[in-house]
Amino acid sequence: MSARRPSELQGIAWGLVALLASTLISHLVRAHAELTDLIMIHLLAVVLIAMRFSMRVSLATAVVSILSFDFLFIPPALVLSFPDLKSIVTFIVMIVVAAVISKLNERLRSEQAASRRSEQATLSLYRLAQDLGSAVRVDQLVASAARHIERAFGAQAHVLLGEAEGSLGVDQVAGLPKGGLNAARRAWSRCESVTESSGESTILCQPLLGLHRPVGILVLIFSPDHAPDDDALRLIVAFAAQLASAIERISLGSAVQHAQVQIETERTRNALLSTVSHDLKTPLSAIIAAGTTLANEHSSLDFATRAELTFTIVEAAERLDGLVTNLLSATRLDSGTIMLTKSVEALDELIGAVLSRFAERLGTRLVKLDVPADLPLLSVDPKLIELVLINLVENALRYTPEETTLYISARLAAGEVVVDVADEGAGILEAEREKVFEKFFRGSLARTNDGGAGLGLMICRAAVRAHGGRILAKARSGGGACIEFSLPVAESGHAHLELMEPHV
Amino acid sequence: MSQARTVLIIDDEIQMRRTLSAALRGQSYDVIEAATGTDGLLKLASRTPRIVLLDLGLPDMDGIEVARRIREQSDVPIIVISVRGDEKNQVLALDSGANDYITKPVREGAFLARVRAVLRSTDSTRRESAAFVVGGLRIDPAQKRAWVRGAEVQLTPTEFRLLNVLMQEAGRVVTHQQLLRQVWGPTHAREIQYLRVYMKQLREKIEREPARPEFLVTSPGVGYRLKVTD
Repeated sequence: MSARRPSELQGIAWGLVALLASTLISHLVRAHAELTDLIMIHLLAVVLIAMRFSMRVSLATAVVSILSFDFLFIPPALVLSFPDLKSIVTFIVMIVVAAVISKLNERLRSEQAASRRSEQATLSLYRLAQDLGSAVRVDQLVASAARHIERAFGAQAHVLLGEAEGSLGVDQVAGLPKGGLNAARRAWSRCESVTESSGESTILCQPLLGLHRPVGILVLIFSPDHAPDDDALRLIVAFAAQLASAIERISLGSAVQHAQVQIETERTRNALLSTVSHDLKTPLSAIIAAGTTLANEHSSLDFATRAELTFTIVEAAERLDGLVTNLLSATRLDSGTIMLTKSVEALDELIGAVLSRFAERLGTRLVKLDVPADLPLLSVDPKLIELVLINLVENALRYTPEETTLYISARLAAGEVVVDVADEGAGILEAEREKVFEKFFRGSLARTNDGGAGLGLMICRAAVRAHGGRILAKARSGGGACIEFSLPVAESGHAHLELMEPHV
Repeated sequence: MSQARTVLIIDDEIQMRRTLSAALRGQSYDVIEAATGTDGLLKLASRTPRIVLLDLGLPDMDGIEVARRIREQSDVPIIVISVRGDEKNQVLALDSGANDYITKPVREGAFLARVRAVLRSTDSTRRESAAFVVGGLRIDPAQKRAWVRGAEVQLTPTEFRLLNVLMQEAGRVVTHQQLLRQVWGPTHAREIQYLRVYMKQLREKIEREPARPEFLVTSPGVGYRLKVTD
């Protein structure tokens, strides 16, 4: 603000210039003009000064103008004589005009400054509100508030947050002077702002008042040349109120989220327990039954029966293994903390690896592959995409009779690779095409005792989404189910490497 | 001298040792068992087995550490058998000196095939022979020529080196890092897309159906393996 108001010294200089100018003009025109006209010229100079400079400068200019006018122009010239009544009136008018104009002007200037300040304040409050609104974590909030405050007030800002048990978290801020900490504690316990001035700084502690309780303390450290004025103090209170409500919003939000997560976890656990008790116990009881029969020394089983029982154990154990693997993957993917280990992968290799794993179980089924040779390489977590393919092939095997065909095709569309895994089974009802991806959901066309737990597609969806892809269920054009999903292409995937190499 | 058909099993689970022993004895291997890493290292020194089957979750020390200590004193082939199925552990074990990695649960047929494959690929008498024959594949490293099902195929030098490495290690998984280092040299150890592209070309030349390979199989996230059918 001080930079915009001209200094006193500048005023005096301009006053002298105006005086010299008016004297010079008066001297040049004195032969043709009345004395009153010359006074008008001087008055004009004083008015011009009064419009620009302070009351003191204007009055001084007026007085010096009067004296120099008296000395130079009122006869007898070059003598400071007592003027006549008419001149005295003119002189008084001159002083009054100087005073009134500079007073008006000063008020105008201060109003301008005030409106400018309030405009800035509104702007900085607006910016703060914008930033606070977009913050999703309390630490982001605190950092952006500190940044705004430092910009708006030139003060160093710290935020001490209140803790759950009602104390002030004082170990949160390093670099806060000891005096500041004490002042903050006082502000916290009294719930009012505390100011402390020492030689080198002024510390202002403003409580952040939430709806029901204080949520923290805003500590501002001003250097001596930036000590806050009343306007700044008002603005700080407004800042503090905004910050407090933003902090409260976020902490309430996370409390609600936490509660929702708990409800969801509880629901999952219940569903999991019922799945575990049924789907894990079924194969387990088969194993125990067959195993104890085989272990019984007194029974006389023929070779064929023994082989059958052994086969039952192997089959049930394989089912258990698949189920446990899926449960583990589901838990890992569902916790939302999955870390992708991405690398450059070729889709046909992943498909090949999965098909070779199923080589025996595919039996008399045909597999039709349609994967273009020039498909770009993918940037994916190979284990997760393998898991997706395993689950889709597993589903196709589970829900289709022998001697049907499994179709796996891929194409490049809009910068990503889209994969279709389709079968010739009963398909998925249109109404269930969304739900099949939900945890523990079993399609109504699925047999209840087929060993599925309703986890496979949920795992597929989580894995595909973790890669930023989409997955959806649809009908295969010739009948049967089709799951389509998209995968990201590797950065260098399109660029074909220079492979011009001579043959041996 | 190592005992021609002696297998050392280091696993703390008695059921696991019992089952693996039964499967191996059924194929007339001699079996030594150890329940801890320390005991395993002792028996390795005193009994000099021909192959070690190593579990990673041992009570006294981590299996990876056991593999490293074995490698400090011996070249005996190691097959890691673990419930840790993630590719990170597989790569770690293979890069720490293990020759192969089998994820539990173990299925007998596949298990015995991997044991045979590791034994064959580490057989010192075979290493010196001029040509390699694995299944329908034959290569002659000296002349840099390769044959598939009796017919010669034209390979580029890089394709040949790639196939050669996998043939030398036939039956076991060779990690991406190991392949890149051996085929392209240590400076290219991170450029996995080279490997993908050359593997694709190589498959097109030697596989009947490249998308469902019978020789060069992928172990997603870990590496490649030349499948041995016997």
